[in-house]
Amino acid sequence: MKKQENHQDDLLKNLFQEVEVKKGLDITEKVMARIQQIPETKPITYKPPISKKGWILVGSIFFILIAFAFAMESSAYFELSTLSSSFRSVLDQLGNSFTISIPTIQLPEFSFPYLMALLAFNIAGIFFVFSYWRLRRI
Amino acid sequence: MKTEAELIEKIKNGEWRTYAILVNKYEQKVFNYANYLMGNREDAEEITQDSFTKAYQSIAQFRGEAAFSTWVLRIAHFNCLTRFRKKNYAHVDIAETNESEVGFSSDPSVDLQLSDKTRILNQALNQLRPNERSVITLFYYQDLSIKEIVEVTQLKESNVKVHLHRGRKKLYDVLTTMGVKAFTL
Repeated sequence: MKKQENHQDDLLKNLFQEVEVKKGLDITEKVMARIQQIPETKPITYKPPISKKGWILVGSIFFILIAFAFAMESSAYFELSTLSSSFRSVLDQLGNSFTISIPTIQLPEFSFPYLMALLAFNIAGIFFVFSYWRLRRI
Repeated sequence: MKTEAELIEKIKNGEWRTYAILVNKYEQKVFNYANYLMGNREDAEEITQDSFTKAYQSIAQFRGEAAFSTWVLRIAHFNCLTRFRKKNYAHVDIAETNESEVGFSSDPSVDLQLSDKTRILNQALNQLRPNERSVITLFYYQDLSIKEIVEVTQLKESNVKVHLHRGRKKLYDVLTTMGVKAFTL
């Protein structure tokens, strides 16, 4: 059995060696011509949309904001309606040159950690969009 | 004389013209592999060009764990399989092939011309399934080890051995039927 396999091996090896096709073609030239047409003639290297430094920055901002939010008292609330009325009073102080009527809207109340998380999420989102846009330009 | 690793490092650094050295070194091997697999020169040439172009485009991902030739052969192998699927290549049954088509005499004493031998081998390889053809070509023509064939084909080692065993037997039987004894006796 083994002897037969060896015989077959020898036969096939000889045959393949004997009939090796000499191409006689200009494949190298054609490949190099194709490569030359590739923009910038540089190998394409993968660049992540957010770099390592970017992730560290985003992570740090997240960590700081979340840590800050949790460090605050849980009873601390921002009332956006209050912000709106204080903004109106600021405008009032600026003088009468402006006659802007600001409607009083009762906005929902957000807890401080919720606001911070929202802010952190938005920062990360803006950062991602900016990085993606910059990468598209390259 | 620079080593292959040095050449690849240069290419990675933007010296794209250096790539010609590698293409020139392995074009024959890749072309012949594709030619044996596809059984047609035009497809083989196109696959060779595509494979080298793709290899260049993703050279940044080449870590040198395998030889460059093995890597390009792997790309060529999958290019061939893709083309097989697209063109739905059928393998010709030996019963459909008569001697006049093959163009040689069944008399073993007759010395066959090289072109006849090439044609016979291609006809015989055409009887094998694509995976058998691929493993046989890599083993006998490219002189690769089983481990390297696993790298190229991404098949399991046990499957490679099975394909090699079956392919060898089938090819030998086909060649014998076609009067291949004239090569050796």
